[in-house]
Amino acid sequence: MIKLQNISKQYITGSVKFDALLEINLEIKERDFCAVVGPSGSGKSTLMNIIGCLDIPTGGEYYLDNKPVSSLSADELADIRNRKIGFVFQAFNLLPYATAEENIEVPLLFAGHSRKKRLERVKYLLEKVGLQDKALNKPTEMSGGEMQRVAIARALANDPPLILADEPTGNLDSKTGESIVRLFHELSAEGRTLLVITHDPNIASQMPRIIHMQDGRIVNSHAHAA
Amino acid sequence: MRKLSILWNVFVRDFRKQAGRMTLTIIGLVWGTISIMLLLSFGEGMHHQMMINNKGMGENMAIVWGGRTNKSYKGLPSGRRIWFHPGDIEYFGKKLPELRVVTGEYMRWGQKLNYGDTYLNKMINGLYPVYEELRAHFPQEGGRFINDLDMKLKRRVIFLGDKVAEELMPDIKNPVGELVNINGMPFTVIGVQEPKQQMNSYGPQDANKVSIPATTYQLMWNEPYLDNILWAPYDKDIDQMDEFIERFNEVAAAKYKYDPDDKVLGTWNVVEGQKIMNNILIGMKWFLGFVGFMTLAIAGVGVANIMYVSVKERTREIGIKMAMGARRSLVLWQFVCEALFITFTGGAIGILLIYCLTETLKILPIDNDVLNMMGYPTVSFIDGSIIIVILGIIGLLSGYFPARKAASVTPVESLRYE
Ligand SMILES: Nc1ncnc2c1ncn2[C@@H]1O[C@H](COP(=O)(O)OP(=O)(O)OP(=O)(O)O)[C@@H](O)[C@H]1O
Ligand SMILES: [Mg+2]
Repeated sequence: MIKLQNISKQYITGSVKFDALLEINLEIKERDFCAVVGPSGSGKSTLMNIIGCLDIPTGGEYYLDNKPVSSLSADELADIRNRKIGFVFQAFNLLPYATAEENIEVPLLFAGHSRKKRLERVKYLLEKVGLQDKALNKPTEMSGGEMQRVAIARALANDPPLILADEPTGNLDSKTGESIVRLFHELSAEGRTLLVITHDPNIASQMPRIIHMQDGRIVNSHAHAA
Repeated sequence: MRKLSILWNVFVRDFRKQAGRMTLTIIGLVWGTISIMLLLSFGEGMHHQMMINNKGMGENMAIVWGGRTNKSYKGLPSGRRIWFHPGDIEYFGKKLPELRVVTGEYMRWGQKLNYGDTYLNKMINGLYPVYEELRAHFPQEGGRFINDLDMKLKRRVIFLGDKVAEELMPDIKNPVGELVNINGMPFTVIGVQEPKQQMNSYGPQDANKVSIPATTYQLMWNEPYLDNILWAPYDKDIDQMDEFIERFNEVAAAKYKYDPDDKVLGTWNVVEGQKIMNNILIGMKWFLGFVGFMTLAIAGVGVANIMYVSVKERTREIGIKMAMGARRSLVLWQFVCEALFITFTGGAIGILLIYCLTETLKILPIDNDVLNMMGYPTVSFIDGSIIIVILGIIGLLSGYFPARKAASVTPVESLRYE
């Protein structure tokens, strides 16, 4: 499903060049459930953003479903983000002025679904993440765990096969974090491909595959013997 | 079609969510529009009123009076008096067929006028029927001006200026048919002049004049000389006034045997005053328009600023939306629509309010001196359209460019925006 070939990302700040990613080669198959771990600054978010088509690598080629991403137009990338990829951010990134259900509705709007279909889907997703009674709350009126569940529901809006989560539990206490992780396991069981960045070794160890990163490289990518 | 419906859904949803900010922006625009429209509509009203006032004495004509020669000519001495005779009216009319009207007038100051026990001292004019149209001596309803039959029969009929009628017979509602005496001789009132605004005059204002048929006048005072000759070209020829004045002088010089280069005749070219007035008014309108434009520009800068700030505020939001799969064009169009909607709504409300205001003012009668000069503010359709276009451009620019900037970077960059 995902294949990275010599992917690099170089940032140039003034005259200083910095390699956030260095010749990354990585393959992720359908239904994989991976944890991405590594020290701060090792390039985890950079890698995930590239996989999520939110960022462009400075070198190498990224194949998504065997298509080279660099050959896709901006609109095609937007449609891929809309249909194929669900992104969960550490900072939630919810629209501050919109309610829970309106936030979940956003990807459905862009997909051009009818109002009826959107409402049905939002209702279903709210139930799935257990937030029926918070439908009309704005982000400021919700706890961190609730916000993250709204974000997950939003990521699932168009039923994407690939879920990317960048430290989804980073801002949550361990108990709330666990419930989020349980949700991810459910999603994996549904047959989705998941990639989750985490600092928590406990959480990482629950996942079938762990990708270790350091200084912009993948130092170790192994699967547990299940 | 589907893209349009997506745009519509997103637009309506986000707009409702940010009604507060939108309202504030719209109020700013309404304010700017009202300021400029107020200035322009006052300018327009003033222009209109001044034109009316300027027309009070009549338009597109010249008034000519006689004088003395300054040079000897063909054996004739200098210092001769050149005065017009009633017969000259026909003579000039024949010699100058390019003129639409040639007429004359008699003026006699200090005549005794009375109605019952009310005595006044007034100037009496001996006039021709064409004077009604040429010098705007329009009668009030129920009355008439001097006509051809009055002339022919040398009737003792009298046409009163509205102020004279007011002074002479304040209690009489309709003076037509009343008898008024000039130097003891009875005249029948045939009409009272419709009140008018008059900026220029020679002699008293028309409202203070008393007019009788020229033929009756000749009979009464046995007067051989006209005081003035009035002539007017066809309206299409008013640019050639100077030429006509010269030709008139040539005809007069030939008839009365004076050197055409001798400045004997006095001429008041009313058209010249009209032109100057018009230029002043146009200048004034430009000035008001300029001030108004500056006001609108300030409002525009305000709107552009709010739009710009909102894009900055909303760069993260754009990042989120793009991460969720919004196409770049959708984000752009949403901002453009928003900006256009705001500017047009603001402009429309402003123009509507101004319209209501000026319509309300119209209900008040013009009866004080300020309004006499100022006139009623009038909304001009063209001004309104120009403002709408300017607002549209401001809206488009202020919405498009900042949004394009935010939408042209990768979603990550927008999301990271602080
Ligand atoms: N826009 C940028 N300009 C310059 N350098 C950047 C930029 N974005 C990221 N970096 C650098 O790239 C490196 C990798 O960043 P990245 O966010 O991928 O790390 P991370 O592994 O996700 O760290 P963390 O665990 O703290 O989130 C960091 O050293 C960071 O300073
Ligand atoms: Mg990170």
